[in-house]
Amino acid sequence: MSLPDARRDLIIAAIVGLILAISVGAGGALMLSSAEREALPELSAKVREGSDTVGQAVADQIRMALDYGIPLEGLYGVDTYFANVVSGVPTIDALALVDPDGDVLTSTAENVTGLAFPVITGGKLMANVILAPAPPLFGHTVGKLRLALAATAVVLGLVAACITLLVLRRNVSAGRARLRHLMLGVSRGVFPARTLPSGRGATVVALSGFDYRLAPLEASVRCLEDEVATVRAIDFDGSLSEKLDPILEPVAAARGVVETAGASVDRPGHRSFAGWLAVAALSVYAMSIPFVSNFAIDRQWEYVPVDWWPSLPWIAEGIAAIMASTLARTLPQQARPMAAFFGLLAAGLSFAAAYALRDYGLFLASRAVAGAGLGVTVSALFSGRSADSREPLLPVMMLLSLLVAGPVLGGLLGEAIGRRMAFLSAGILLIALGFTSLTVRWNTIGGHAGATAHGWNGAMAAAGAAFGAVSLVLVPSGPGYENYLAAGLLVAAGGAAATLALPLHPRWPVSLAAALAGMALLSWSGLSMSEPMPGAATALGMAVLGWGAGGLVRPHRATMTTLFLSTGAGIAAGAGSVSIAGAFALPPLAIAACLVLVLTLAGQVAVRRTTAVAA
Amino acid sequence: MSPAVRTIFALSVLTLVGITLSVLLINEALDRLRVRAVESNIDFILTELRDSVEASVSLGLLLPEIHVAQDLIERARLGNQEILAVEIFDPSGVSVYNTDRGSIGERVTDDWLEAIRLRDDSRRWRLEQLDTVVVGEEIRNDFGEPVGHLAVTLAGAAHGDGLVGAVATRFAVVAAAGVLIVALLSALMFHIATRDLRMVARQLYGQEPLGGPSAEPGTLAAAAVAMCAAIDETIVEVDLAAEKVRALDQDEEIAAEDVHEPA
Repeated sequence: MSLPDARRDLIIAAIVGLILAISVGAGGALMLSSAEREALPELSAKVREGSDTVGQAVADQIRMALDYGIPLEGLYGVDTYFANVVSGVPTIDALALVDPDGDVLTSTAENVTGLAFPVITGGKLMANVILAPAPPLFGHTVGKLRLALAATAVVLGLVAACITLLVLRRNVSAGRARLRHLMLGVSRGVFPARTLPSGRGATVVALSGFDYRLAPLEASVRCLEDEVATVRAIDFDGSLSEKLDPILEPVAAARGVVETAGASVDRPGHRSFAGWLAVAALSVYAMSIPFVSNFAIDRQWEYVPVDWWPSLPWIAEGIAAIMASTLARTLPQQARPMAAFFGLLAAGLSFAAAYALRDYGLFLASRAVAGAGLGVTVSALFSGRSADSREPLLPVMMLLSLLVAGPVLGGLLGEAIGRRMAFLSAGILLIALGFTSLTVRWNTIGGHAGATAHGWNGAMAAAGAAFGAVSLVLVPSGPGYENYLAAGLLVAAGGAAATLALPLHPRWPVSLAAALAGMALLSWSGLSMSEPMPGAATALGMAVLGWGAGGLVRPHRATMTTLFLSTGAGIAAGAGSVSIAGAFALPPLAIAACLVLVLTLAGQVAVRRTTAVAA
Repeated sequence: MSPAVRTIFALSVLTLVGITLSVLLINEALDRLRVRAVESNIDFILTELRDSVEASVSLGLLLPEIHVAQDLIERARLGNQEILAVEIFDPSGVSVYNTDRGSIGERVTDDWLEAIRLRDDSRRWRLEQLDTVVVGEEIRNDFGEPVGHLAVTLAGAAHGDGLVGAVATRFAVVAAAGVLIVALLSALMFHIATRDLRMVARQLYGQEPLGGPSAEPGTLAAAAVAMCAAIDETIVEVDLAAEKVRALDQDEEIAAEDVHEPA
């Protein structure tokens, strides 16, 4: 594919993404304004109703005291009573007691204005209770909602851009490049065997046009071949062949046009489809990132200390995924279709089961099964495959889907329909993808004999450890505990930075320094399991950490299976490190930072040793 | 179905999903806001009821002896339409006072006891069920020991008027418009992306003359011009070769006749 083609694809994909983002965003904004018109008056009425109840009750209390004969100025403990009421009712900002002349007798704040509730005894106005309603909660909620709608639009726009880019590159531009190559070949005298393009679309029509143009030449060549056959038939002594060859030599290339290429089984196409199917599965799987840890915390388990509640599911998932993936690599070629299908089916059913699970132990088991299902699927789809040798876009798309699209969509779904429904939806999607996997022509997908199959990569394990500790445990248990979208967005901030770092291939010391700096920044920002809301420093820390971790991942140096196994092991270790740090009252990321350092250095030593042996 | 049509269909579905997701987000957030507003209103009532019961407990009365509590919870229930039920139960979960008098003496559900067990350090606990929200508070004696619980059952999110229902027509219009806009514009973008392919296809099929101003070096059109010229040239060469071969054949036939005739 030529550079202008690639640039054109990127621009068109970006425009399509923008169109979809604007459409979804504008649609959401219109629906929000409509909903505000419908719902806010009712909400305001409810708040007003509550204020009325409280104001009236307080006025009644004052009236009762006056009825007992206590003078207004001699009421004891009114200020404490008012303070208790204000602190206990969030819809009230302040209370004041004023006499009929307007003089303030007691007040919880200065210059209290608002609703007045008269205190009347014996038909005479004795005082007024002034109640100042708190600023409505609507502003904050609507602001948060706008952010969620914007995130929906951006993420779906990104997904649309990726889909469009994929189709343009793999179909339109690849077809254009093939047609150009064929036409230039013919103009240089290289005549291809005729292929009969099948399907529909502009590319197929253009290739058919190419075939149509070759038809007259084919007719001429067939005529020539008939004549040649006749001559050869009467050439009993071979004397004619000697005369024939000089005549045929100048048109030898053109004679190939009557040969028809064999039935084309699109091997790279199917291998590529399997890769993209795995990306889709990982993306759906990643939708659970904002929920798993906080879902586990809410289930509670008396058999293990509190510190381990959020991390155990990820540890179980990581270990199960590694074991299942290792086992699945030994499966014979013919068993792959069913392995991928059952892997996705198991993962999907485990996700869906979370809808009904209330027990921690069962949830833990379901996550282990989900991890095992993912491990089997990834092994079946990727075994022996080099990470980016055939599809340079694949690792980038994988990071984008795993760390950006999946978590944000999961966070949005969690906010929209709740965690349990989000688990159920993701489960159904995984099962649907399982059935899609049956459409791949599996006998054409094989491990390549030359594929490097190192089982371990330290730097990737380090990246996994950082991701496991921060994105999978700390963020969903802290700022994302009750704000799934915040969790998804924070993970996406790191994921976007990692995706940017991936093609830049920064040197490993730079990546390591960035990862450690990111963790330090996150610790400084107060990221912990008890931090309620993320701040700008947390987001920046996530981005720096993501850039460092993304730089440590070198997909061109490993197979997909190595990538999966190493990061899986790192995730399990990283998740566990947060719990160990909690048990020893250490800063949450202290052990994770050490892990990242040690794993990266160990990985570098291993790489140097391997290079030395190879040399 | 061509890849472009399939992609446009996928993008349309994605738009529909996006707008639906937006509506669900809005519905959930505003419903939650409504429940929070109601809960805020209930806070005061709950605190007043608890204070009243605890005042009686401070006087040395046991929970079953505070008969005024039944009157208090019934008045609270009548005073607020959002309250579906009010109940006071002892630490073992047996209902002592209840606005549904038939339920007095029965045990509360296990979900309530679980919510009490899992509450944080505060006295307040909360439980969301399918269409109700239960907000409860612990009743303590002067020594801080729990002597029972007060629970108020409120209409939950599903009890609301249903925002989705109220804005359904607008949603249908917005979703249809969004899908249409995305489908049309993405079709236009694919049209632009494949313009050169379609043009060269027309040229190859002879529906348009070859070349033209678009046939700049490096373009498909230029490659098509070069290819067609090469094909025409090759056809001439092949036809010439065929004629020569035919001539060989004829020469051979003449030679054969010459050999046979003398015989």
